[in-house]
Parts: sequence; structure tokens; C-alpha cells
Amino acid sequence: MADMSKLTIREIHSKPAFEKDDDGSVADQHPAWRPGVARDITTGFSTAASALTTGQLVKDEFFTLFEAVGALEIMDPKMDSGHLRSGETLEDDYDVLRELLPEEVIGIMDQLLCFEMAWHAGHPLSQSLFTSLYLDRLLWPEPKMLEEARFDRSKVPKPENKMLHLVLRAYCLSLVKTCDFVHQRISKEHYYEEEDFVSNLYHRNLLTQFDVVEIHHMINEALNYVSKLTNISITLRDALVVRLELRSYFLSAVQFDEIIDDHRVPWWERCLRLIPALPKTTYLGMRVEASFSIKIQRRLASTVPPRPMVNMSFDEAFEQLTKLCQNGKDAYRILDYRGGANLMRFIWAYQSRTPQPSVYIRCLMQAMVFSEMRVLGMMSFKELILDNLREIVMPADVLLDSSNFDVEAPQDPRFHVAKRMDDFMATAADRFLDIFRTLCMNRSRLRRILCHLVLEWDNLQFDAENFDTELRKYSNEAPLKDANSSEDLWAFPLSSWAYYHKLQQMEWIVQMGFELDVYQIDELGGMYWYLQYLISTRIQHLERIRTFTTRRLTRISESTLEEKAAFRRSFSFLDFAILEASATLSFADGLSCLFSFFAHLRLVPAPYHDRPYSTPEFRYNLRMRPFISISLPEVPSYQQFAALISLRMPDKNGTYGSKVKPAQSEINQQASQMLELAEQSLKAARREWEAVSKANAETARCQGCEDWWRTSVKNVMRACINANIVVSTAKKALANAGTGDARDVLKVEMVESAKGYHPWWIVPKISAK
Amino acid sequence: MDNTKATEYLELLLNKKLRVHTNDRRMFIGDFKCTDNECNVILSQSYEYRPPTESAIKAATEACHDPGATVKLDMTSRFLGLIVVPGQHITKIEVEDP
Repeated sequence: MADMSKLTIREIHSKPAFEKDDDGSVADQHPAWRPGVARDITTGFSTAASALTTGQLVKDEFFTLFEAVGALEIMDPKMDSGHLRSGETLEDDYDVLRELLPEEVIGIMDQLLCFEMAWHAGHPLSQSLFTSLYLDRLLWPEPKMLEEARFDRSKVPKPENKMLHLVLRAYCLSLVKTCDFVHQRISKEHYYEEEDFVSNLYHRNLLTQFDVVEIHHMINEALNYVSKLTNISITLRDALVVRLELRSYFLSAVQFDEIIDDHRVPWWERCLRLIPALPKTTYLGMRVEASFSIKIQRRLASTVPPRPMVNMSFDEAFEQLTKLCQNGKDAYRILDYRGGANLMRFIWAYQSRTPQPSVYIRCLMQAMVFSEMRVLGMMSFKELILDNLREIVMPADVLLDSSNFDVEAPQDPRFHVAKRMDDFMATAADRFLDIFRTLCMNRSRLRRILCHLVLEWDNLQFDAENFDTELRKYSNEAPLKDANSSEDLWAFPLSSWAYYHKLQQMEWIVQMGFELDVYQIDELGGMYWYLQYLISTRIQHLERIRTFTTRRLTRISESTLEEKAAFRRSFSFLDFAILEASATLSFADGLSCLFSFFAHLRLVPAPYHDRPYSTPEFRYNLRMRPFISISLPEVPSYQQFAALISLRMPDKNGTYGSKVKPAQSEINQQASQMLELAEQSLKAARREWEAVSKANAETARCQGCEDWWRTSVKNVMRACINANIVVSTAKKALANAGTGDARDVLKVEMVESAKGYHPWWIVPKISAK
Repeated sequence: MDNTKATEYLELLLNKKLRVHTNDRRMFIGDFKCTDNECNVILSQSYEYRPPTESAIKAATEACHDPGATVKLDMTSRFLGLIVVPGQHITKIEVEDP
């Protein structure tokens, strides 16, 4: 044994000497440290500092006090993760090398799984997986070879204690490698740092440089060892086997490569088959709390104050993992391409389920939609836009003929068509892609980004008009005559396409507003009115497109089979879009009337009292802000809006704006008229949604996502039926009230969007008193 | 030292790499950005260095078979970024010569 008294610890004085240990274990040499001579200036510095006047700062001219506020204060226990309280030691007493019982290994594995899922759910590694002393030992100092990533590090491995050195090590290494793949996948796509996910690795490396094959090899070795164990019970052995196998499958499922096809699906399926075995054996595990420590944060590169360990229960983690695997498997269904409208429907249906798929899955979906310049790994983005144009506005149009793009002779008109189409698609590409990307964001961001995106589409629509005018001479388009003004009407197919997408995004913004509980109760009636206003604009637009497409069809003297099929496809899209839009319109109209009715009778809390600096007009303008700079459709002025929705809000005296308070009988009569309107619309909505639900998957553009879409439609129908019941209850109660105050007989209770049948359709609860 | 001289002296040190030692045996190396009359020091791009722990020393001593040898160990370090070291905890300040 070495003589302790002769031990010297190197401190960096005038001659710093960081040298490698004899055994080679050297701490990471950070870039901040440079060998060089340091001069002691303690006295000079402190004398100079004390000669400064109070409040005087000596600072770098580019360094602002604003920045200074963000500095971590050393020795402040709340800020300084490296601060030790008196008597506290830097390291834990836990001996990583101690013998482990199989029960403890299971316990540690399950605890690690909980932390892994917590990381997936958006917690930082420093508060989850990186609290494990076992992982810490494997990852720090950074192993140069996989062989170095061992618990015993410098020591000669002992042949015994295989539970630790073979089984737990294989488990930990594959866990870390899995995290590496997950981290790489997420980092490559769009997500929100600290909102969806914390990507910080604290200067640790997640075994990125090591081949996954080596890790698989290790798991197999461990599996081999465990399955031959005879000195432990079969249940224990099976529990270990299941956990190791799951790691191996999970690792394969998330493996990061650039190949976009469904060859990873079987791995997700295998995970799903194994998962149910986990909770059955988790009781066998013995938790080893001491092997997790928050003290490791002291050694992690960190610009944030110390934070507590995250606690996720095993049940929660198990549920997370199940959803992750299920969603992972389902995500690949997107690869079966059935047109742009279907693709959009798929992502909506997939992402709208609650809870929304986790950030890893959302990034996986983004990668599938577009990566390596390919859409779904099979087509170019140009092909996707062309196909979407054909589906919505220009079936079998000469302008979109693929052969145009092969013409090289400049005198050929097709050459010019192709050039202009290419220019248009270059303008549209990013914005079109942004729609798909945006749908993969978290729900609040989705709405927020749409508010920006819709402005881009407004510009695109404008640009597209120029392309349309230019292209007209190549397509031999003959204008329609307007019946009234005998003006020429042109199809404007490209800008029609852009307008269609823009209108749809505007509707989404309003509907997401309902889902995210953005609107106050007293605003709901108005917002449902605005929604139906947008939809009726879209229906008119769809009908306009249909008129021009029909006309083009009649001008083709003898259409080929392909042309016929193309037109059929487009008509089926337009007709179903009109049907679905009408159903939405009726429901929105019905709810708008219903909320007006409630407001009229003062059955829902409304801003009757004056709010300082707030008028109904201000509030309306605020709500319309995302749309105010959009050229078409114009946002109605507040006066128009207030008149149109017949939302005559009673003021605080209940006088409805006039000097004399109207008789209760009059109020009730007006209310029952509104209720009548609500009833008509909601009955129509019910019929129309019924028709929507009967469409086949191809027509409804829900192939690949039929189950989710049908569930969603069913929920809309349930919400609609519920609204109908509310109306009839209100009707009866109002009849009973006669000329009395309706508030004496009716009670309305608001329901949060998430607790209703469908988050986009807020139907309050109503009961007769 | 009068105020002008003191200010001048400190200004010359700005953006130099300082090694600030604290009374808990830690050392911080970073770019000197700001100080005041209480000797509070702000360092940017800083790293924390800490002497090896008892257990690390013990492990190293055990690993060393020659009883008379001097054991060398590295200080452990990590990145911290922008920090302020309060003057009351500072035991020593050094400047690295380029």
C-alpha cells in the first residue's frame, strides 16, 4: 500500500501539471484549461478592488448588466450545484461494484426505465437517467473503446459478479445507445427546446461512436448467461430475460438510419408483445434508491441551478412506453401514400389523439414526411405538390403534364409551362411542407405557427395569381361569362389551390382555439359564427373550383380512361370536401345560435360589467388579430359582426342597449326564436355528419388512418347529438318559464374542451331546475 | 492605491483568463468580465475545478503498488458558463499569462 503521507494532490499553482496517471485514467481535459504560467495577483487585485467606490464597476464594455443577472452565483446553495453544505461530501457512499442480487438488478432496471420515460416526456437527463451512479460510471470519464465502458473501470474485472458486470452493464449500455438514437432523431427535426424536450447532454457522450452491433452482441451474451442460470427461480430468470430482450428490440426499433421504409415495424411489434410481461414481474424487483443520486449534477456541465430528481411511477412509465411503441408502430402506416389530402388527414388524425404522441414519435413522423429530399422516402416534393394540384384543382391538366418537364427545346411552349410551374413550385414548396411539419408540433405551437403560416399562404395566393395569368396562354383556357356583369371569369387554378389551403388553415386556427380553451365563454358564440363564416367561404370556393373543373371536362372532346379517372378523383375530393364543410358549417352555426341564446337570457356568465380598458369591440379585434392582415376573406368589422350574430348582449342593467328594459315576455320570445334557429342547424348538422360518417375510406381520404378518423367523426356526432338534447331541454324549460326569468328554470354549466365529446365542439351541460 | 490607478489596473485584466480559488477548495477558470469594490468577480465561459475526492485518492493509492511513490491525480472539472464568485469566498486570484 502506498504511503498516504507522500500523496500530493496537484493543484494548479505557478506550475500546473496535469499529467496522465500511470493507469491512464485521466479526467477530461477541458478547452478552458491551457498549460501556462499563472501569476498570483490576489493582493494586487483585492487592493485595487477595494479602492473602487461603492457602486463602481469595472467591466468589459461589451458585457451588459442584463447578462450579469443570468450568472450563477457561486456558493449560493440554490444556484451553485457544486456547493457543499458543511459536512456534505461530494460523492456518494454507494459502492457501484458491490454484489447485486437478481432482484436488485430488476429493481434498478425498472427504475432506469422510469427515468428513461421521464426523459421522453420532456425532463432533462440531469434530473432523470443521469442521476444513476451506474450510468455515470459507464459514461465518465468518456470511454474511448466500448471495452472501457465498465463499472470497474481501471480495475481488473473479476470473473464473479456477472449480474453486475454482464447483465446490468449490457442493459445500461443498450439503454444509453437507445437514448443516443432517440436524441439524434429528435435533434434533426423541429421541436421546442425545454418545451417538448431537453436535448442537453451535459458534455456527456451517449456512446454515439460505438457500433450498435457490439451492443447487441453484449445483450446476447447477457441473455445467454441469464437463461442458463440455475440458482435462481424461473420467475426471476424470465423477468430478467424479458427486460434484456425488450432493450434489444427497443434498440432496434429506434435505430437511427436514413432509410425511410417500414422495415422497423416488426421491432416495434416485438416490443409491444413483450411489454405486458413487465408489470407482471415488477413486484420482484428490489429498489436500490441509493444507486441514484442528485449529487451527480455537481459533476455535470451545467449552466443551470441544481434541480431535483424527477419522479415517474412505474405505472406511468409503463403506460408511456406502451404508447410510445404503439405510436411508433402506427406511424409507419403513413408510408402508404394515397394523395396529399389523405396525407394531411393522416397526420391530423394521428396527432389529434389524446394524449398527443410524444416528441420522439412526432419527430419520427416529420422524418418520414420529409427527409433526404424525399417525401415518405418515395417521391420528390415536386411530385407531391403536382399530385395535390391534380387532386384539388387541375385534374388531367396539360399544365401539369409530367412530360412537360422533359422538354428541352425553348421554342416548345411546354418548355415554358414547365419552367413557370417549376418556379411556382419552388415558391410553394416550403410553405406546403410547413403545413405538414406544423401538424407535427405540440398543440399550442401548432395553433401559433398556423397564425404565421396563414400569412405566408396569403402571399402565396397573390403570387400564384401572376403565374395563373401567365400560364393562361399555354392552356388555351376560355373564360366563363359572368351571368350578371358579362365579365370574363378565369379559373386561376394555382391561386385557387393556395386559397383553398389558406382557408383551411384559418379554420384550423379557430378550431384549435376551442381545443386549447383560448376563448372566454362569452366569446364562444361569436367564434363559432366566425368559423361558419370561414367555412361558408370555403364552400363557395370549392363550388367555384367545381364549376371550372366541370367546364374543362366538357371541353375535352374525347377523354381517355386516365383523364376520366383523374376527373373522377378530383370530383370525389371536391364533393366530399363540400359535404364535410357543410356538416361543419351547420354545427358551428347551431352552436353559435345556442350560445347567443344563452347570452341573451344571461344563462352563461358574460362580461356584463364594464371591464377597465375593455369593450366588446376591443376584445373582438384582439381575437381577429391573426386574420386582420389577410386580404381575403376580409374580417368583418365589429359592427357587421355584432349585427350579424344577433348577439345583443344585455348590458349591466339588463336593458339590451335601449333605455327601457324590455318585458321578460319579449326577451323570452326573442330567445325562443334563436333557439329555433339553433335547432334547425343542429338537426341539419346531425344529418350531414351522419352522411360524412358513411363515406368510404377512399372518398373520405382517410386511408391508413380510418380507425382514428372514424372515432373522431363519431365523437363529433356524439357532441352534435348532445347539442340537440341541450336544445330540446332548453325549449321545454323555456315553455315552462312562460313569461318568467329563464334563469329560474335553467342552469347552464360549461364543460372544458378536453372533457367534452370532441375538443373542437364545446357543448355546455344544461339542466332544468 | 487611488481610484484611477485601481481602475486602470483592473481594466488591464479584463477578458484575461483568471483562476479564482474559493474557500471550499474549488477553483474557477474563466474570462474576467466584471468586478466591484466588494471584489465580486464575474467570469464567463468558466470551468469549475475540484480536488480529487477521498475515495478517488484511496483508489489511486491502492492501485499504486510502489509504497514510496508519489500518486498523481487530476482535478475534476466541468463547464459552468457565466458565474459570479462573491468576494467574501475568494481566497486567491491568479491570472494566466498568455
